[in-house]
Amino acid sequence: MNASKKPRSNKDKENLIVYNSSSDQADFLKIEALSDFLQAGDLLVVNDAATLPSSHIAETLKGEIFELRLASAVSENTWKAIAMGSGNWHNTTESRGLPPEFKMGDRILIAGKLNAKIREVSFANRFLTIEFENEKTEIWTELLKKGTPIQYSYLEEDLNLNEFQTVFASQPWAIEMPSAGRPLSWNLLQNLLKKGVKIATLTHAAGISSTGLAELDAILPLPERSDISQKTVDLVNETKAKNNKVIAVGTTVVRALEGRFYSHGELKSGVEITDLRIHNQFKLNVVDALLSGLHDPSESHFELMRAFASEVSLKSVFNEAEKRDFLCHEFGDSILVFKQ
Amino acid sequence: MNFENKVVVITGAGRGLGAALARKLAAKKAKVILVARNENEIKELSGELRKLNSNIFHFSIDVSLPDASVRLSEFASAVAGPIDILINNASTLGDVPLRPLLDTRDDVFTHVLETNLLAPFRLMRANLGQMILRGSGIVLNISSDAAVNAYPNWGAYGVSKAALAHLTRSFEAELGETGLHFLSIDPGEMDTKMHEDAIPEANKNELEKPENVAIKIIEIMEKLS
Repeated sequence: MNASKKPRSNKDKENLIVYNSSSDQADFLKIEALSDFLQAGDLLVVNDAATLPSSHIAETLKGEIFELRLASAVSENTWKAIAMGSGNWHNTTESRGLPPEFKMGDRILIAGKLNAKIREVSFANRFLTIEFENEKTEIWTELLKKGTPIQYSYLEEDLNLNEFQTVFASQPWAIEMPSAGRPLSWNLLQNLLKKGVKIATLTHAAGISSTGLAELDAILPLPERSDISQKTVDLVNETKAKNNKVIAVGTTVVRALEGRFYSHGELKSGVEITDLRIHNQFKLNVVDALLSGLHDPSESHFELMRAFASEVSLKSVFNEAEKRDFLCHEFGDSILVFKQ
Repeated sequence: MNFENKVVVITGAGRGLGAALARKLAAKKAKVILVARNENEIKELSGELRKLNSNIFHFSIDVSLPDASVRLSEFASAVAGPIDILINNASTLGDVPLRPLLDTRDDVFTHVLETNLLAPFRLMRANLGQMILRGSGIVLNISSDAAVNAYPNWGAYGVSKAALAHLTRSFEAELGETGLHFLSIDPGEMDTKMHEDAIPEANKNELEKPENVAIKIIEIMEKLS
């Protein structure tokens, strides 16, 4: 399937696959038809994490310049990060040059003003744990002034940070855009609300999706934190009690909700980190359907989708979508898949 | 509206009405994010206000830049929490001394529109979704007499303020039932640097002090639920 090379002007006219695992029925539609498949009382849970400008210029004390991509926050001043060598986002991540050699304890300069110490190095200098030595406000000031959004080589041009936000973006926790929510225009959300569909939010720190190193990609997604409010917990529980459907907008929402249930045997509010990896054998306890972007079958994203539908069915549906010129990746088309 | 712990972003906070509003809101224990192009001004004000309220932050950025709205909204949310009250106060006159429209260059007109109209629009677009889903929020757009009445040499500024007032009304028409509040307030003629730039010959004794205008604006917002 071809990647969408840029954001499209009319979100409501983007494509949507609706696949029902029980009936093995697939419909190929426009996303504005989403409300036809949801009922009054159903609950759409969205990830309201705003997308950070996660790509930064960094420098070793020897003056070696490299790209540092934040990968996930461990604490307020400690982050997992990916170091990239020569080249830029126009190059595939696999073809990027080697990063400088790092040792534990080395200091680096990020965004021209932030000092950080390297706490861990692995995967041939690609994967770092860094600890900022500046105070919190200064860290956020410089990261948000100097960073650019992470982009991949299938995109055509430098995109503005605005393009990586959903209409409900709030806390800046996402390393990359929680892109399943991107096609949800305010117009579409209003139509859903008018129909009686409810909307709840949670914040999940969507992490980096690709590093260019197969062994490192294999450990993605990294543990990610999520913040679930009591209001959202109550709405999910009410929806389940009334036998209405809980629709997760994005795999990050599935991970947040199912991870929380997996840890406690019920949904609990608050901020927690989950390392849950959802696969084809995973029994979904909370989520009934997933609205997701279309991604390559080799990605962890697709692995999670197999908890909702069989690999054979999904590949068949994706093949048909490809014939119909549907597009994949963060600015691509969507699929709504109901579990069996 | 009780301002305690409410996250308030004020653009153009370095001086004049923006600084006066910041002082009043800091005293009311709001979490205030001061925004302006000139870092020194807001850094100094931030230091002053932190003596009475530790939740004062500053972020220097030119709000007319296309992605400034997202960058400063993310900063506010990261250090203080999602924005509850957005005060679009930053504005520019364009060239001073003010000039007739026939002498106004494209780049000057564009910059006035980007600062006075597009920046507030982008900030509203970046924040209204989360405000609606959280069930509350106030947007205050600082207007002007020039939004209603046409004056010679005030063309670009007047056009931008008229459009900003209509932008406020349009958002109200679209989202008024969501429980959010959209305010457009003309503060009148104040003793500010901007007024001095526009009308250097004005008698300052006849101008209102920004501090007094800020008190009235705060009173209006306090009455909102």
